[in-house]
Amino acid sequence: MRLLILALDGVPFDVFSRLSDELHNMSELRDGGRWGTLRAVDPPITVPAWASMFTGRDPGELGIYGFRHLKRGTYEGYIVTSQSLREKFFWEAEGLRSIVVGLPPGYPPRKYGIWVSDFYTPDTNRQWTYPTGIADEIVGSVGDYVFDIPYRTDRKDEAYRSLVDMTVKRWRAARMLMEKYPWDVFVLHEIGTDRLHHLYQKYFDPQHPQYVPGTTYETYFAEYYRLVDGLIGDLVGAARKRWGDQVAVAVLSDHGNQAQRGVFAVNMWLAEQGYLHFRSEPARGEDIEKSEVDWKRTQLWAWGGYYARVFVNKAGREPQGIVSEEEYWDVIRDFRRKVKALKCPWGYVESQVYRPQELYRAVNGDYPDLIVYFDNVRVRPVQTVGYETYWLSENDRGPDDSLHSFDGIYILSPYEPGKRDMYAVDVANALVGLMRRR
Amino acid sequence: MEERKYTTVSIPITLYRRLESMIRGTGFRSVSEYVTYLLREIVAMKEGGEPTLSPEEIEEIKRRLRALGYL
Repeated sequence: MRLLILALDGVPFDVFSRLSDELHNMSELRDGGRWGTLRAVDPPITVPAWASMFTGRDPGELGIYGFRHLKRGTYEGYIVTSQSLREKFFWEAEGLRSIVVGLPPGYPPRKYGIWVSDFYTPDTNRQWTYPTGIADEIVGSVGDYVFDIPYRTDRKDEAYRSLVDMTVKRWRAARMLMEKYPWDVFVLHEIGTDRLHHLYQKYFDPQHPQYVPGTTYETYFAEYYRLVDGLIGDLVGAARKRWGDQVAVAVLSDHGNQAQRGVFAVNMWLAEQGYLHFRSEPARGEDIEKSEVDWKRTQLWAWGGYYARVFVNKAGREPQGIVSEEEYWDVIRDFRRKVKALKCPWGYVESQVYRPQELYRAVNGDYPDLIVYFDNVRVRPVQTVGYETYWLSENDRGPDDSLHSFDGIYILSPYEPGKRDMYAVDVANALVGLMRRR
Repeated sequence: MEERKYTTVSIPITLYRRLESMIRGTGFRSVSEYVTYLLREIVAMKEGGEPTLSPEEIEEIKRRLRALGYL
């Protein structure tokens, strides 16, 4: 059986449930299949989530912990790209013919089957498809192809138009490829669903501290979900018309989204707790990587994002490390205690501090010393410094309404109907199983 | 006493001969040198690490991810 995978970035289970009466095609697939909550990997972010789901390896095994890594034993970061993934996707491991559109990290294009790169792609002047000629066919078919939209913006109406334009083009390109080239596994990744949440969560979600009901943006939210549902109907319909019941369909999301409740300047807090010191006063909003950190006095420092990566400045490992092997565990214990006692402006919150070894089956590559979720990923840690307080009113990288959550969705069809939740690293096996069904 | 820098690994003689013929006319001076090179490549691949894009391409990707708010 061939397999059509619709990889919808960042669709939360609760939003699918709330809108399911309006999402006729997804509901129909759900009613004829196995479905449920898809628990994301740790951390619940796009890179490494899809790579884990389609290889069956957790982020520790893959040695991929986010869009960037700090090279262990240095204070230097580097970018994670498609080349950082050394494991095979399940369709590669099984030797199947594949067409993959937009799957992150997707640049440079992976040299297997047909590959269309993702939002990493700097511009269309670069090689963004494999084989190269596919790019011309896509442009010939849909016009200028769009990888992503600027979504951390206040220009919400303009953003919506771009969002729709990008999505419609991608699904048209996918349809062209699906009907023209041979495949056993077809993966279409849509980043637009995630961007929708980042743009409009506060107009839709009463949990958001700045929830504004009854605006046009609220209608955009449901309208965009209906658009995607319609595109799913068209694509699945076309596939089933041509290949009948020899097409299985998987709808997946890599993580959910939830309201952002606050922004936390984690390095300012580390400085206040005495873990981090500067040689000169940092400028307001300065990136920690640009700051003059006094490494000879610094025990801990952090990167922000959806989660915080906390690094111990360890003697014998980092160039100017000061925390000895004996002190290492004391510093970590002390840090955990202080995070537990952390009070947000709206009260105490529950945060989680993990060593990578506590989360993964193996720990490879450039892993951080600690992974921290503040308020169950509802508070965004930022790494910039130079603020008067460590609680900020807004994200330092532009307006953003949502943060990621662990509860995504999955639907596998056809399957004996029923709800059964699944863990992200079990997806690859489940999909291989689905393809082997008669 | 000086610390040893090398050790011995056994490989089948047939494989050794194939490797020997493969390095003829290359810059590798011995099978040991070639095997060390191959193993380093494989180990680097297994351990993950920095991608091999050009520095210019890396900068472009960084700019892109920064513009999207990821960095």
